[in-house]
Amino acid sequence: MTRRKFFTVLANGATVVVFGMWQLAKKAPRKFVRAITLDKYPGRVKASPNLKEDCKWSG
Amino acid sequence: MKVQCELCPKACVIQPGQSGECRVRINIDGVLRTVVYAYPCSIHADPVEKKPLFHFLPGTRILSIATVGCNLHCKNCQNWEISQANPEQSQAYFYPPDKLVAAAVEYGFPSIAYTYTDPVVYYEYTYDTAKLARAQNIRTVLVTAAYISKEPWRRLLEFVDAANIDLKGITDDFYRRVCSGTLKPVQQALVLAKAAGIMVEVTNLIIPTLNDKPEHIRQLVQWVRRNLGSETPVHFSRFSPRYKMRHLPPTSARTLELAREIAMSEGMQYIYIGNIQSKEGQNTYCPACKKLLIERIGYTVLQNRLAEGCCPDCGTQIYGVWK
Repeated sequence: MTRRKFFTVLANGATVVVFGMWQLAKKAPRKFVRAITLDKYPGRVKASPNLKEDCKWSG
Repeated sequence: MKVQCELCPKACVIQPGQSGECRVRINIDGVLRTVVYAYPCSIHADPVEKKPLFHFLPGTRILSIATVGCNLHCKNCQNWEISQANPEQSQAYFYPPDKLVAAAVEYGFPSIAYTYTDPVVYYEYTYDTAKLARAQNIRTVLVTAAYISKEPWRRLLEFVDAANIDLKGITDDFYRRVCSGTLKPVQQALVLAKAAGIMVEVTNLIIPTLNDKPEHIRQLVQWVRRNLGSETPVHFSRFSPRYKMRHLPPTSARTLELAREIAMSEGMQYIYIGNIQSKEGQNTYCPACKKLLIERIGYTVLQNRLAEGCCPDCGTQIYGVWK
């Protein structure tokens, strides 16, 4: 085997290994990451609720 | 840069400036942000029986909150005005976790419920509040469809005391067509909750023509018995025409009674009927001696005969959190 052929085989092998590991990493379950809070509510902010008010929602 | 939200099985890949399917988790400059943290759109004091929870501190009131948004889009949603709302078009209160827990302590609520929409989508707010509440001896209750990934669910369950979990149907087809979800993650979440030692009650809303076949009800009950145990309370609830299902009639009392009969014949111990008056379907009976233990009408407890969580007549321990 020539030196050039040896390095070609080595490079191809390394490429296959790296590609395979990348594929495995993509499929591996990732750790859940919490969302970060937003500073400002995009809707309207109301005054404090009246806890004695009847709730119209189910549940 | 796109981000992927891994909170629920939908695993939304979110473009910059866009939100996931739940409408409340957004990508801002490549960072996943929760829009509704500390901003509940609804805060009320409800009877715990309204959740419905029949085996958890009966006769008490529970501080109940929700933010807008939901990761499911059930065509029959009873609370679609908030569950399917955009935060930009909504109104909310500013209640960070410490303020909410302080309010529960000040007004003497023994527990806080995360309900009305789905606590899954306001996960971080629920988690932080539940953790603070535990430190103050305030119990945490989830009312949820449990469409959530395993890892965040396991983490949240550490601080949860009880849950009413919807099992909306027993076929994947029903979940896909009616709820825009899938069945398996919900079943996994139910099993995980029970295994974590949470007091679990199950609700099944029976919708005429969609999930009211006796064989499907039997399958659902058999699944609950095999995977969660016969002591797990099951509530069959009456459907009312709402949202995108106004063309269907309300569930008949006969269908609900039949569901109860099927469940009892399968050996389930506590079967209830909800959203409709039903004398036997609202009471708790001892599974051993069949004597009346808790008598209810609507959300009101008329009498509670339990003695230290046991039947006063035969001493059988009754599944639940009683004090």
